[in-house]
Amino acid sequence: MGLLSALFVAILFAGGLYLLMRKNLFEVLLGVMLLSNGVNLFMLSMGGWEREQLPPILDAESRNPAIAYADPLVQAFILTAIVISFGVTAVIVVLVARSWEESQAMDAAEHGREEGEA
Amino acid sequence: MDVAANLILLPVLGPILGAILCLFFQTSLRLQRVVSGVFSLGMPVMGLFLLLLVRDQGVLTLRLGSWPDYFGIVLIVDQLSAVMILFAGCTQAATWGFFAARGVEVRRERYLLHPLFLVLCGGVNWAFVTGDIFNLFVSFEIILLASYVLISYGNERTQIRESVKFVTLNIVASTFFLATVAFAYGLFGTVNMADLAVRVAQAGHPPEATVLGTMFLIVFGIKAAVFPLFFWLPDAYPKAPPGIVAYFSGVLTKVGVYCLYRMFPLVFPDAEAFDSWFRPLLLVIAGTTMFIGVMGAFSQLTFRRILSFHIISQIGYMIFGLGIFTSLGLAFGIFYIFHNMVVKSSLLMVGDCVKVNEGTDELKKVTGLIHAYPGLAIVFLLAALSLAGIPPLSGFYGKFGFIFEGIREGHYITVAVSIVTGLFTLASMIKIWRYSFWGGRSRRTVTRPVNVGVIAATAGLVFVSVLIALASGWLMMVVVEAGEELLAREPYIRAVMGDRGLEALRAALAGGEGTALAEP
Repeated sequence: MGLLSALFVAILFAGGLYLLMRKNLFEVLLGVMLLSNGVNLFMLSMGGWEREQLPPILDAESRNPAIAYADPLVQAFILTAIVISFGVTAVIVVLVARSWEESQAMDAAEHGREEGEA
Repeated sequence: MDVAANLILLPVLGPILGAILCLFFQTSLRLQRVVSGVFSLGMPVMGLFLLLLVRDQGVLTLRLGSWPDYFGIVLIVDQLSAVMILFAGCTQAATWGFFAARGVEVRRERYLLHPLFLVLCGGVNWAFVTGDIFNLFVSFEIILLASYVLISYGNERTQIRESVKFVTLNIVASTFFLATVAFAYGLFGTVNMADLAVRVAQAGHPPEATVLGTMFLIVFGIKAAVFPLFFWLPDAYPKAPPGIVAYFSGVLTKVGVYCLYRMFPLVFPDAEAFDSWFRPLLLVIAGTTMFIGVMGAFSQLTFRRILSFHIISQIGYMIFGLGIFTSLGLAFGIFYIFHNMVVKSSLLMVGDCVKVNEGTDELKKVTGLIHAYPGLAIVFLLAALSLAGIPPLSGFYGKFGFIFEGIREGHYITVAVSIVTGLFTLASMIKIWRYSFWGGRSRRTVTRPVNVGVIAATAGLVFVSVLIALASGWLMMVVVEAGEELLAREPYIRAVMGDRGLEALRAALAGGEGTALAEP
């Protein structure tokens, strides 16, 4: 399981970084989404895969977790991170849309070049 | 739980509450200004009060929801945080003055400028008080989200282009930050800084800790714009609207530096690892950042771009202070951070005034400002000389300290670089002075004259820098204590984890097995 998740994190990161390097702003946007998903999966795997993935629910009598449970903290982290990356993605979508309106170009390098700035 | 500790929340929640209030008054710009003014002008007062309180009572801790430290969110104010809140607050107040005196066109100011600005300030203060790295991440995101909007504020074409770059780069940086947090949690099972420090010490500073430290250096290095990672700054900052760019350049990069000052002495102070890897790395980064920053500034011919490159150069000095890593080195570093917040912002406000007034800030197109605006010229001169480190002004104390402590510790090359950098700083300030302030007044039409209020806000911030110089005796005492506190670690760790953490740390440092921390 650990190896599998490492592989998926690697694929998500590699794909995300590749897309980020592209000129097309829409691909950049997709790259950002892949990256944020990759890092969330990385965070989840840092919580450890050894334990059985069950929620930490207390046993009624003993007041102890009934079974070996999944680390809830990383899940809380990821939840926060998802919300944040949602907001950030929204901002980028707006920026990409605005830049499309301005210059009808999805190309990061072309955009705004006519103003003669380096 | 003592009541005074609840005050820690005020610098964080205050501005955010203000931002929410501003949203209710969208139709009335005047009311927005008042609300924003209350929380902006109150911030330096709050900061000073917190500083005095911390000096009186020791480190303040607030466990949100009274959860124990390994579960809950801990907010902490020690002398370092309090000093940062104080001077970031001064910058905030002056920036508010700039807005209130219509430094930003009213048609722009209408579009949620005040709420965004307040959220930004709240995020900055949160970064200063938080006690765990995940909350640090969240506060960085709040700062970033506000700054994404603010940097593209006004919706001009070049702004959109630069902000796409700025946003993309910062997202990569945030992703890396989150990965680093995950890495820290995976390795040491905690995100609480004090707990992390104890656990790293208990593990005997394994090589993984050095990797973790380097990752933090990269993450905060991007925020602070140190040498190989500074490229985004000089393009992005001058595109932001007037006033906002002053706050950005004064405070945001320093948040990154503050995090380095917080993390390294606390979590990675292990002498062997520090001497063999972090110190050489930090010193090389410091030297190159200083020199390349100032060279960049020297080659520019635009007022605000010169100043943007100077931000980078000044960051180098702060990293130098961290690289020296003695209590005095850290103390001078802290002094330099807050001096720079104030002075850099005031210089950029002058740049903004010029840009607003003349419609451009290219040095060759703007001449003879001293005839039209003698007050602005005096303000600029004071701030510029202070930045260059001319003796009676506030910049002198930090720079003198770095040279003094650097020579004592034998870092001769970096000291030499810092002296040369100082000369070039002065030279490029003289360049601005010679081109823009001296010379005959051109007959160009003034696009939008700056009013007295805007200049007064700028002058107020320069006055704070003069106050720093006047009160340097007391402030030096504060920062030396703060530096010692950082290196000693124990006050901070005890404040978060109580005696349990302190004993665990001492046992770990004594080399014994020690009592392992109770697993949550």
